[in-house]
Amino acid sequence: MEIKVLRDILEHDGEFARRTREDLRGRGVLCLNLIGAPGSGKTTMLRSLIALASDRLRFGVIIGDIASQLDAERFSPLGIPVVQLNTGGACHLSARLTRRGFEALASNELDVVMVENVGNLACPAEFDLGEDAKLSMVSVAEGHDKPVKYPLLFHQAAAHILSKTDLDPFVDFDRDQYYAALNATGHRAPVFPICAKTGEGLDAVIDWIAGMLDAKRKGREPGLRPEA
Amino acid sequence: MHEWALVEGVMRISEEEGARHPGHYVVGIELEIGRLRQVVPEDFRFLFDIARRGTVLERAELVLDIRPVRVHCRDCCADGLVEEPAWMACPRCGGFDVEMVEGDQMLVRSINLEPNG
Ligand SMILES: Nc1nc2c(ncn2[C@@H]2O[C@H](COP(=O)(O)OP(=O)(O)OP(=O)(O)O)[C@@H](O)[C@H]2O)c(=O)[nH]1
Ligand SMILES: [Mg+2]
Ligand SMILES: [Zn+2]
Repeated sequence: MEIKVLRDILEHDGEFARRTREDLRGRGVLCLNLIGAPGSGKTTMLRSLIALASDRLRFGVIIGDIASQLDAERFSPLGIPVVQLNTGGACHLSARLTRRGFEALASNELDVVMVENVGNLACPAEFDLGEDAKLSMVSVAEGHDKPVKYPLLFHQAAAHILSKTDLDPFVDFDRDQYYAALNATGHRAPVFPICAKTGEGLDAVIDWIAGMLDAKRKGREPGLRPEA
Repeated sequence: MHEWALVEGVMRISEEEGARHPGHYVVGIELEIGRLRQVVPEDFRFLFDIARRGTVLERAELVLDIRPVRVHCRDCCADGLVEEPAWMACPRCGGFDVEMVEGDQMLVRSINLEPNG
């Protein structure tokens, strides 16, 4: 006897994501899920960006790492609420674990929660955490072929960060090929070349985040994919 | 290795579905997974075989149907398959203004039950 089931394999974790999304909508808080390889510059960018935007937006940060509190400690000079989550080996944040982070931040008045996912270009893209949008990050030192090799993330991301542009003279990152590969995901998401060391390019990212927040508060869901 | 999370999800759904049909055991389970989900079938089967011991899926045959990425072109209205998931181009006109019809799903499609005995 065959029984049609047609249930999403990740529906259980998806239920946590659904609740988070509902909470965030109720509170008018934007959540972005930042995904990039280990060392691509996620924490460094978040620190610089949040410092630059501190008079415009109130940020909270949730950081996922397999182990350690190191990244959370790097935010202490900023005096913003930060939660470090340790996955204990898992290669990605799950919606269930990330919910603990949102609960720990709940007592703060925030505009934006930035989630830094576990350094990894593949697995984190599989898991919806309840965010409004995913951001991809690739540093120029990693090579322009990343969107071709890890299609799911680049397919889903609502914006792409190209980091460490100060290293351009030392590596052979071909921007045309990178843009062509992003084009081939079938939808147009903005690309933000940045250098977290000098702050170059961060204003554009902040404007984009502010626009997303505004859209969300006006009831226009920013959505996972910019054009969907 | 996010395959563990998938195996966990499959086990959970199977236990729930199995519990709705007392007096039966699961002889087969079919999953449908889009190619864009980057699941490694060998890894999945390996973990599945470990996880199913002593569960409702102990004797179940696993069918893993890896589905191609299928798109609809907004430009020329063609429907077709995409060979390379990183290159979502219309198979007819080569344009990138396409909509994914399938290829990112991850479903337990069906479960096959037999009466105990
Ligand atoms: N040259 C240069 N180096 C940078 C830049 N941004 C970050 N780095 C360096 O890159 C290294 C990794 O940066 P992190 O911000 O820790 O990277 P991450 O993505 O958070 O790494 P994980 O949390 O381990 O995944 C550090 O040594 C940073 O100083 C940049 O814009 N230019
Ligand atoms: Mg970090
Ligand atoms: Zn076409």
